[in-house]
Amino acid sequence: MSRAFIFTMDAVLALIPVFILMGSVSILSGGEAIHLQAQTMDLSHWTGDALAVLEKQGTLDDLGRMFANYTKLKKDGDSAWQDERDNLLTLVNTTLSPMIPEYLGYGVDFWGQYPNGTEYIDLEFTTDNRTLAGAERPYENESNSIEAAAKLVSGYEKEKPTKGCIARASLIDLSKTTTKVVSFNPQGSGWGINNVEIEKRFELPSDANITNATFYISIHTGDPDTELHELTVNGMDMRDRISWTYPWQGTGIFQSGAFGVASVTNLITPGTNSVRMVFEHSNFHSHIHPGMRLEITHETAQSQSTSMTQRFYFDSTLGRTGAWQTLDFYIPQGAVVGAATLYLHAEGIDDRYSIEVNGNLVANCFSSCAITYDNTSNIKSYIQNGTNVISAFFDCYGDSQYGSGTAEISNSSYVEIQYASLPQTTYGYLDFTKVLQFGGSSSDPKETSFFIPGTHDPISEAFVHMAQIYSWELRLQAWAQGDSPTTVFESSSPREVPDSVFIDPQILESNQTNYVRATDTGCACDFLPESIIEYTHLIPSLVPFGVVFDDCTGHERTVYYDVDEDEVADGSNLVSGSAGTFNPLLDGKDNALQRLLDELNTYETANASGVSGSEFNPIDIELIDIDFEGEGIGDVPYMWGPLKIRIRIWR
Amino acid sequence: MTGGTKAQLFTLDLLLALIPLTIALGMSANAISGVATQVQDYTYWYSYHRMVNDAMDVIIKTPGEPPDWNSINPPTTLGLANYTNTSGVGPYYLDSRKVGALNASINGGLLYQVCLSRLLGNETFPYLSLSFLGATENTTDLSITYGSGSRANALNIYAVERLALLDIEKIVSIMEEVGHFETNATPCCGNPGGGTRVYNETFFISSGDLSLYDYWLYGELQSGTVTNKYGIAPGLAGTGCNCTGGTFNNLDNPDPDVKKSIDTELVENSDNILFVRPKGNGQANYYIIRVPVGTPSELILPEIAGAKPIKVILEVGR
Repeated sequence: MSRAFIFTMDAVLALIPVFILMGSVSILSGGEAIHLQAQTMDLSHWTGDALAVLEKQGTLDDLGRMFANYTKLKKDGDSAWQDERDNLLTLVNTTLSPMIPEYLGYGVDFWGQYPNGTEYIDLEFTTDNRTLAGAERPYENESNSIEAAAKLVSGYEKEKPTKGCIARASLIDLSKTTTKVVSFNPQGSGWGINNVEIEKRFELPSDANITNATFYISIHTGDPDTELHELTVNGMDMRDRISWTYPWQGTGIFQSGAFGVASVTNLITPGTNSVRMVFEHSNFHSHIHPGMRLEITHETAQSQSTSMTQRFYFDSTLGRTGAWQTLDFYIPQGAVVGAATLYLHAEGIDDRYSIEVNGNLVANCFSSCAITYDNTSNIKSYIQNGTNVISAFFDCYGDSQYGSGTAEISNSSYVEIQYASLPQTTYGYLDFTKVLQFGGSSSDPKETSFFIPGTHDPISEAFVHMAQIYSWELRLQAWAQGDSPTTVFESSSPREVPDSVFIDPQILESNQTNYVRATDTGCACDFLPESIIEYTHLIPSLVPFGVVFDDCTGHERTVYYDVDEDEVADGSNLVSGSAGTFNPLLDGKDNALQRLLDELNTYETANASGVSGSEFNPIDIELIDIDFEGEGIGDVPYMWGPLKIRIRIWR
Repeated sequence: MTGGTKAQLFTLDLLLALIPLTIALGMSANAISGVATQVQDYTYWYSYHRMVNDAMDVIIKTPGEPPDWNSINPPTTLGLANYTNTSGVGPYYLDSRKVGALNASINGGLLYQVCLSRLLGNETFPYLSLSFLGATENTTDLSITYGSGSRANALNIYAVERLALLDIEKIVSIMEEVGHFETNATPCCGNPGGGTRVYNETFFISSGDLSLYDYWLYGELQSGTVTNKYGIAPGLAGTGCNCTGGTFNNLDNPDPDVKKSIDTELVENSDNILFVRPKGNGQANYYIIRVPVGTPSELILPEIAGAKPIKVILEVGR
């Protein structure tokens, strides 16, 4: 019995490894292995197909070029490398995300090569950290199968030499001539024989080289010869310089406007400037009319920084007995305002005040008002993209009606705008401002047309500064040829006439005739031909690295320009370089400069001959002090590859 | 007797010992049989999966045989990759004319049924589907499916999804932002600055193209209101350029959002001209779009013109 038992136990024990073996065979030979095999084959197809499609589309080459620019910018410490990285990420997202199903996770790696041949990995984009689109995609560390495929691409043109010169040129340090318009807010006032005192401060770049400054004076006054008591620029009396284009005609309310012009070039300085004026009107208000401004032409280095907070200060106005001012400012289209604050400090209030933002009442008082107004108001809900107008009236009228003694708006008053986001500045472009006068004769309404040249230059902003002897309410319309007029500003209350009206650049078109029409809807009050349009358009400021050349010398080159678009060269400048023949077909730096000149030649000259920048095919801006950046980078072979782009897909 | 008792005990022991052994052997035999069946099922599934994958490989990577096949001269082996005498085969780059010909009738049935069956071992499948779906953000409207049978009635479905490029549409002529004050082009009659005028765009139709392709006029409103009139005329420039009134031809229609087949208006081996006489305060775009013969009208969209990534999905059901 014990033998049998032992026999039985032996048999059972012997069967245990047999069962284990059979179970293992069942697992290994069954579904898991086959399923895994099929899944791997599918993933392999996804990776291979995706790379093949990207290559056929040319997207792989685009990725390679962008990666090369990114590494170069990063190596140079140029902050634009972040833009290039973001561009790369956007391209990966827009192309791969729709191709790869949501149930798969994926990543894209860029493998470069150091000069000593060792590889490095950069920019590992992956759906794991959600930089790549797809919130529901699986994580890599939770996947049970992953496939990867890689392809070699060239950062630059294929089959080019791996040693030589590539170069780019940029106008980051370009000196340019630009015109700055310093507007004076319509403001006042002195009542009767009492003076109004106004002081304005403004800034110019510290490196500004001022070549011209013209002061346009537009005031409602008594006889300027006897009642314009002070008009100084940086403390220098300039009244003798005024030529009265529309002279004062008498003490009547409609006769006592005056408009004049004065050259103040030698009075304006880089940095802080101040203008102070004191004047009276023996019968009515003395105040500033729309159209008063300084036009300053200067050369300066470009600055591409844009602040997320902006302050617009009031001028200092000491009125007898009232003080009022309209402050206008603009919010760029596409900007999102996070907060808007109005700080207003006024003193000497006797009877009443009223403060409005774009026609919305912020504060008012009609009796027993405090003598000092010092308040901060949240005005965010009243702010709009485009032109904004703040009207502040303190007393304002003569002692017989309201007010007593003096009232003063302090120039510590301001509007502060904090942006939650600003429209993205276009990388690789510089702005260039032009000012055009309406011309013709005085009329109401007054209309003008102007042609904006260029086939692809975007217009970044545009303003109209209307000049009037007398004003009440303004309606301004703008349109491009072929479009219907669009009303860009309309006064919501009398006297709400800004000196500067913003026109949405979308309304205007380059390479097209554009129109502006101003109407005073409150009175038959003419607009003067000295009214101006100020528009800023963007010019391309850099060209990327090009193909590889043997030489990297950079030769001097005479560049002709035609800034007034009369199709005749206005002059030329010498871009410095080595002596010798400029040859963009053989020299990397010459090639970069020529490509840049092609970009700057946006106005098509009729019957042009020769390359861009030559005498009979001039470019459209004057390169006063061009600093073009171009360098040979022949010792950095990984810049042009081989670059390996790897796609990993998992499930 | 004593010995008999021992023998009986021995026999009983043996019987008792055989019970678990028999159970174990039975279970083992059953397990082996189950594993065999399971392996057979998986192998069966995998072989079909593999077969469908291999068929798809042939479809997207080869041009077929003959490489320049079409609906008149159907392929012996189906492949959709592009092929030209000069550049050879373009794997992953599908020829829109071949895609368009898949629904043609040939000996034995429809082209895609007959040829897919050949690729799949000459087996007849009750459910068959070959789809081409846009795989970019702006090509979600691109959807072409050739199919037969009921997917719901299939017991097993073997499916494979691959990526390729398809150039289903070509824009052969374009007139953009045509408005009453359009200035980027020179009118064939009238003043560019104002008044009545007509703009034209010329495009050439080669011999035989009208049998390979369908041509469509596609208009889309860009802004404002327009009552543009438009027309197609073959022959020399100037024909139909009428600024003094009248109509063009039977395409004359003031609706900017036109989508109309224009094959009957066109002449092969000749210049053909699109005319637009702008009216109204807005702007509209007009395109002449070329697609393979038989492409459904819902696919006539300018945004899917050019080579676009697509998903090619083959489903086979038994």
